[in-house]
Amino acid sequence: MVRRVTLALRLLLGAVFVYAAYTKLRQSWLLFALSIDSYQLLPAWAVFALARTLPWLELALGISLIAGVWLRYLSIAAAGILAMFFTVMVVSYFRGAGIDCGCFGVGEPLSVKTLVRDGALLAAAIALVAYTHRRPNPQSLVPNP
Amino acid sequence: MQLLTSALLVAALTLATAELPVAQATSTRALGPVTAAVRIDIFSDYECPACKALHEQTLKRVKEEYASKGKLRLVHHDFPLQQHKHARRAAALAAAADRLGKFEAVSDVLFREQEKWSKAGNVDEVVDSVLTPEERKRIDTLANDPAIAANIERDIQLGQRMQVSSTPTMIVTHNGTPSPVVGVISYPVFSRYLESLVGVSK
Repeated sequence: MVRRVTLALRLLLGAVFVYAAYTKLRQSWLLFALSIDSYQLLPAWAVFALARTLPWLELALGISLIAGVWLRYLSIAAAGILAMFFTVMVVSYFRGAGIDCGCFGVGEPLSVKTLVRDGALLAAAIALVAYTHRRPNPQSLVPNP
Repeated sequence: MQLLTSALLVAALTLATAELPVAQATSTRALGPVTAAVRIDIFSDYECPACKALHEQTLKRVKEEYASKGKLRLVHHDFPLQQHKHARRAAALAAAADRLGKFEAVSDVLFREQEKWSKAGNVDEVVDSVLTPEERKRIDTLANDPAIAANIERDIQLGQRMQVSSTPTMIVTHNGTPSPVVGVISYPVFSRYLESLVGVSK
């Protein structure tokens, strides 16, 4: 059961990260820079640096999650990135910023729908962290006589 | 499908400004050559704080550095939001000021004094502060012209067709492909994006 849930969670999160990377990499990185800048949280140099690197980071993370490598560490990285996205989105939404989410390319407004979706993905990532850091049941370690 | 949608949106934008009445032929609501390869359609509300920030921090410089130098075409569209009580009147006054050749001055004062008139509702007074006595007499009649209300309505409908849901929204069209840019964008980031478009224009 645990293995199946872990597999489902990492495939789901991996696919989402790969798709998010694809939607950003297929267009000019400057369009993604505009989306990041509209959050009004970073100076221009940091906006450019993030716009250039984040899609590749998402791609690498997505592929690694699908492949199931370094799962104990990458599940934490995925949860950390999603927690960061979610925090920034919630703050911006309640600040009343009518901006694009920037999650999957351009043209998707930041809304309750995008917050619910990101919140659900964050919950999935936290569950994956919990499953991958779960201590094995001591009973299962006792060899059968 | 996406190509077809893009083509229809660009056609809608082009027609929207081509249909401007003769009285607006010398309008400064649109700046830069019609033939420019890059075109920015800005949907804005004079009572929206983000529009004020975009106007003052970014668009004024875009006008100076790009539109005035013929590198792109910048077109203003009114998109007064329903929750802003005085936005429609402000848009009507700015459009009337355009007929007096004072669009720039009135737009600037409306954004600069936004906090004041949006609370007090004295938008006419604020506009009057940048007009001559002669212009003050004419602007009220001009702002009440049904053609101006119709133009604002047409801008709103155009924005809705372009899926504008909040202000400010810029539709940047380059080589026939429109890209929505929503919210306040700082000048350094926006100019880098514009340079990438202007530099590769066909």
